[in-house]
Amino acid sequence: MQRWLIIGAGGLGCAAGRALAKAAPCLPPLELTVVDDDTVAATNLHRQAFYNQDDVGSLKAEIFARRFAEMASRAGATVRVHPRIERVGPSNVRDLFREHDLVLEGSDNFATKFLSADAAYLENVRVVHAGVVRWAGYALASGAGRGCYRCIFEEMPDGVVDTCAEAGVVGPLVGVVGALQARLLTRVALGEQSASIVQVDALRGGAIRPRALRPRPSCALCSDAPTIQSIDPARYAMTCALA
Amino acid sequence: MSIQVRIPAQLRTLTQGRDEVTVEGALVRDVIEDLEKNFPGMKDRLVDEKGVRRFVNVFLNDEEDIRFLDGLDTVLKAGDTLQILPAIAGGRA
Repeated sequence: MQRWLIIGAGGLGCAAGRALAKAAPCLPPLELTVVDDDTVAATNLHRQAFYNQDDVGSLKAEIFARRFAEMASRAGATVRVHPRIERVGPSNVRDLFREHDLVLEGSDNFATKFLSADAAYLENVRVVHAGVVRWAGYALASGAGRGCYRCIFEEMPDGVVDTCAEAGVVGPLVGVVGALQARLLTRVALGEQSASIVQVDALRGGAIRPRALRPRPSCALCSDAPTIQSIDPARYAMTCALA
Repeated sequence: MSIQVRIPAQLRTLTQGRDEVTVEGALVRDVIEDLEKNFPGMKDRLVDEKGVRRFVNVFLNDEEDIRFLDGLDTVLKAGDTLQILPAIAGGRA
């Protein structure tokens, strides 16, 4: 039985979740944990595919768990899904990751992405990240031992960034990136060892561009001389301004 | 020499919506200077006093991350393409 952790029951989590639920009969026997403390809002409905109008005000993780299990069951698989109503943070991330075999990180903020990357490496758990804003997105799978989020996005952005306020996102693109994330997760679960990234640019003819992710020799996390060897809460604090 | 630069969605407000621009430069740093000359504000989004911002990636010909080449001093040739990939977290509609 594999235990997978899904961080974030929002746009990416829902999109990836629907793809994984449908594919459940083809996957190894699974048990899932979904972590999110947010409630469904009306403005979520256009891109968070597990929720409908009747769910507004309800806890996302609880609805997600129920819908995933139902969808997997209709596809012919039994998957237990445990909702956890909390936020992933420095105080709980390593325990959470230690309890699972694989992580799907679908948060919408840099702090959680970098925290997840660090915890995954420290706990020797593979993680598949994704991010999407406006018309662009990517999905990224860490490698077995080498190759991680910090190899390509070295540290948290500072100064002017595009994602810390209401930058906006195109709903259908969230579905595309979430599906790509689910695909990468499935490949990792079935034995893919290398790190990889796939980018999507919906404005450039919808170009989908996969590439290998080369482990960076000076990576602070996964190199031979790492400087990150623990979870320090100060590392994940950030300030940002709208571009 | 003329270099094509693919502009990510997040930076197209600086290029009047254009997703690809042609600028001049023999090295990556020259290209960034020419980007700034033609599209003011671009340089600050890409580089700081230490070099390429650490959450920004620049790929040469869709293959090589310039970190694995000579960084800003990577030599370019006519017909090369640079792609800029900044970190993305999320946005709320």
